[in-house]
Amino acid sequence: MLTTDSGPPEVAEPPPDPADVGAVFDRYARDLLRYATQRVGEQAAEDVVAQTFLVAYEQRHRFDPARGDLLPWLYGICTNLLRRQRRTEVRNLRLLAAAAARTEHVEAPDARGSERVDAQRSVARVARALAGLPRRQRDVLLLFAVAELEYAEIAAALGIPLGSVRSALHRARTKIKSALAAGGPR
Amino acid sequence: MTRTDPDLHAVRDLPPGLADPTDASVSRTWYLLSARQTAAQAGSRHPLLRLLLPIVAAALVGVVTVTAVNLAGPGGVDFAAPQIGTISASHQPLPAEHATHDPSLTRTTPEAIAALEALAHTAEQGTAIVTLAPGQLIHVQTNGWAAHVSEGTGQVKYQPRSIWYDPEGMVPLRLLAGDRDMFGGPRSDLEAEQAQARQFLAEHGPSVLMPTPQWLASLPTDPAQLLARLRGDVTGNDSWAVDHQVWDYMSQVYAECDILLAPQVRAALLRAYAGMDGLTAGEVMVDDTRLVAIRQTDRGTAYEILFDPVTAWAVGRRTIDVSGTLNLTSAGSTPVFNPLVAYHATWTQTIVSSTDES
Repeated sequence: MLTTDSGPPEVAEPPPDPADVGAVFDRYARDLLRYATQRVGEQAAEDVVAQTFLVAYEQRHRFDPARGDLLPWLYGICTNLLRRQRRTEVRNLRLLAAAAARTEHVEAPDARGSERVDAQRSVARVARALAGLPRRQRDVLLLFAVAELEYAEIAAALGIPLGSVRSALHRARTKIKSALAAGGPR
Repeated sequence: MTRTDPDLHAVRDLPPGLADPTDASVSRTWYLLSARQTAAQAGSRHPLLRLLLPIVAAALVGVVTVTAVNLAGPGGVDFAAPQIGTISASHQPLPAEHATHDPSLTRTTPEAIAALEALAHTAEQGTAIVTLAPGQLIHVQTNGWAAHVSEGTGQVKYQPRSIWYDPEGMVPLRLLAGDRDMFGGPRSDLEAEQAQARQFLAEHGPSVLMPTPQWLASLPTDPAQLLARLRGDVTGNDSWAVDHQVWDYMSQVYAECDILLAPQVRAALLRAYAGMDGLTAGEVMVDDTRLVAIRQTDRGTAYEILFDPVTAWAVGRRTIDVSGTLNLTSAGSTPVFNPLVAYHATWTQTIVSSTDES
């Protein structure tokens, strides 16, 4: 007789009603906080995410399930609100790049130290590259890399054509890859 | 995490060491959301926005039920366990004529005015006046069914609620859903939320949004003055008609503290409603018990308050999708709803000395 350790197949929980703020918050708050915190830090992220749920509630009648799921729609609202924090985001990235860049001229004492220094150099380069991206490219890249949305979901979230998502993502990733490669093996 | 390309990994790992959001961060965000909504309410009130107050939201999320009606003590109706066979309703259609006060609504029907007058006449025969001693609370046992709506379809499920209110502002102190404490969990910061609610009360004073025993007792008994007072409390929202908002808020007042209404105020409220727009009348039968349903309709949404014709107490409320766009299904075999509605609730109210008493 064949046996299996796997249980019954998981049934996807239905999405909450957009009018049920508590349920929507419970389901998606952590995803949005993770995304926004990475971009603008914890304190500003809490402010932006709270506002995201307020805006979503007030505009719930504009949510069309036929055009996509609730979470990408929330990411779209959140991303729009984050644009008001652009200066904060860019400043944070530059500070991060500057802090990590202090290791650029550090000589590692051993192999393990060398790995750590290389990692910090990568951080500096990626942070600098991210800070230098045009706003749309950075939005698309972070929705793809951090929020893990699909192309079509990003298009719906930002209200831009699918082709624009593809080209913005391609350009952004090319710059990040170049920044990483610029370090290369030392 | 499904995307592992080095460039995406590098982007995702900025800044290094960033942890997942903490429970504290989630709670703070919820608190911000609540506080911001409360501030917004001062200038713009929407019938549903109060749901954003977490403690109130938890109290309201999917309230519902009805059961055998057993008239008991002042202001309260005792509902046994929900062993109900059928909950049926009949309601008059919306009239074609528009209202004169608010042309966006239909005129209130003569049948609704007659039903309200009959209830008011019954109410003013009452003698029971509940006086709260210091420290006493209101306990509300609500039985009901609510639709869990997703993508235009709602499954109606049984949801009991047991709520203890501080009568000063009707601030919920404890909320049970069956045995489950609804004030627990990661997004609960009960003390802060209660403090915030009390601060709102202190800043804005009691109103139909946050009634107090003193506010209820001070309401004018002249129906026209009373209606003007209620309408004045809910102005500032263009999304819904003022009378729709008044009706929604009053359904919440009844759900929290019907037990505190003095007979003359209860009668005055019923007569004040006769001056509102968009009201129609009907009845709800809970097995063999008849309740009077007064409904206010604004576009596709209708709220009903259920009155016991024997006492004129408000004993329940319902939400009906009259647009016909919501497809409802029942999650259980009993009771049989005819027709099925998005929300149906009745309650029992008692005065208690602590949140451990019910």
